[in-house]
Amino acid sequence: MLNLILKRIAAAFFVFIGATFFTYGMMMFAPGDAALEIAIARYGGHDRVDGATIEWIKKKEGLDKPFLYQYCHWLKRVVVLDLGISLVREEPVWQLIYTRFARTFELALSAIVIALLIAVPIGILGGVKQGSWMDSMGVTIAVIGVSMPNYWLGLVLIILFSVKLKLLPVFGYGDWRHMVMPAITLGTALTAYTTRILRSAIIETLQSDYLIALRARGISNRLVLGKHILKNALIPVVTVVGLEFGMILEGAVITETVFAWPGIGDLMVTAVSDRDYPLIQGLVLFTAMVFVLINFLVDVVYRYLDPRIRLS
Amino acid sequence: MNVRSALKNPLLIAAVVILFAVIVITLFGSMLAPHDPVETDLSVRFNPPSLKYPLGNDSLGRCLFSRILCGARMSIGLGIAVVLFSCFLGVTAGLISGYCGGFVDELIMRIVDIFFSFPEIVAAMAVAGLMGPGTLNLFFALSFVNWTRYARLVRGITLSVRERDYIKAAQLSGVSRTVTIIRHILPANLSSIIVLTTIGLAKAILAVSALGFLGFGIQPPDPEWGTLLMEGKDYILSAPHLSLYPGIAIMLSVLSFNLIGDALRDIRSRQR
Repeated sequence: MLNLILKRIAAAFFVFIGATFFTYGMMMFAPGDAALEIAIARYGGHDRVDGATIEWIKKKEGLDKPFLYQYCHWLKRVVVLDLGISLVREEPVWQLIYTRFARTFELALSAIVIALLIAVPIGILGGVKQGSWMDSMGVTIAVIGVSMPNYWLGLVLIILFSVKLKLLPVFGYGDWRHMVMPAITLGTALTAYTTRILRSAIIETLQSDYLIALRARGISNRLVLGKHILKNALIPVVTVVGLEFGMILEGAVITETVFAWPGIGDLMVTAVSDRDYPLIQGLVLFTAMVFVLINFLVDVVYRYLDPRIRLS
Repeated sequence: MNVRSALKNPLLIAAVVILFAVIVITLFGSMLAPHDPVETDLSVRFNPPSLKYPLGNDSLGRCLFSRILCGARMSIGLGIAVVLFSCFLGVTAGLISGYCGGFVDELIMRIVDIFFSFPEIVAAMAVAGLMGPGTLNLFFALSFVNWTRYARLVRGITLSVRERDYIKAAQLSGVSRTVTIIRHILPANLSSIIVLTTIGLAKAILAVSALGFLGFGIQPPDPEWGTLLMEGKDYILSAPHLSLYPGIAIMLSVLSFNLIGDALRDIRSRQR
């Protein structure tokens, strides 16, 4: 087990180096003079920037040094969470990401809760009673949920609940009423996805040999379902909920744009529109690292839950 | 589920019909459009659906129906291009990785891990932000993250196929490496690749229009479904039809690909 964890840490470290290298390289290959871009963003407008300022920035930011030197220099700062200063907001990038991430996390958590509350019963019911009308309905709704663009769902919810029924505020951040529509928007695809995975996991478990053995020993259906099928079928769900984190980060970008939710996705959209390089870089790196961390944790938990892998 | 029983599933038949319509619209959308998609007429701004303009008019009085028809070329076409390119890249990498094994395999898979760590939309946005928005940048950005799925799938299958007797027989009889891979290993991967491509198309169409919606996709005035939704969003209180219909177009096409992909997967798993 320890050996395995060390191996996974090594792999995660490799991904970290690669991801930072790409993120930094992307900046370097962006069209236009980086020093000029920084100067324009910092002093506002072409006409306020002269040659001397650009030279000064170039020296100060180390832009005249070779690429690898710059990359290592940058990496050294990244390790201590110094991601630079946002060009437009003039606040430390890490600070911005940190405060905004809390809001996204809040939203993501409610979306996951919604997803599990709906997906677990429907998935189990559909898997156990495969082919019944309830199963077909669940399957159909799930495939529609997977296919629905979440930005469109958000707009439809606004038309329905804010414009027609006037029940919920159109957008913004505040009490629970602001949370309802974004959480549903973000949670729908997750719900559909989890339902599908859980259903097929149950069907697969139902066909396994040990289940036939259990039945042959005359153990009641209820006990088999509660103790054996669910336990096994929940293993893939753990994995999926973990892996869905990537989906949530993507969904957050869109959901937060639709509802003006002040989270990390909204920050990303404004950073890209402003061409705020350090902020874009920090955000890409941050999401990649969160993703790597979650993958790592899921991998370890998954191996722990499944004795076939744990003991081999 | 075999092919015949699949044909009895009404949902699947609907999906095939929708897919056919989507293909026709993608290819001939601009010819079918009743109006010029970029022609403005301020006298009919925000008009709701009418006989002359079946889905109403947008903020510049352009015909929404014609814009949706012409937008298919970008939304669907770009999605198809992304999937084909990333499928080609991923399958090549997966075949090499799985067949060669050892250090090559380890290296390719670690690179896949790196690309996999960037969420699709975030990576595409970053590229759009750094390189500037544009169709070609969007194409590369989306392919850049998508190929890893194919690489992982193909590698896994290749690893297991490699040990089969018929591959050993081919190797022993002196068939070259390239020929073995293309003639004997690739076909074993084909059914899985087709399933993943179909579902991948659904995902790519969603991603293209999501980026359009965020304003980093196809640039106006060219119509694209996600961009149409973005334009409509600002007028959601006064003209909700602008936010409604382009989304239905996206959902129906994505749904048809997903349903057909699911059916193909079912057929394949029954055959095993």
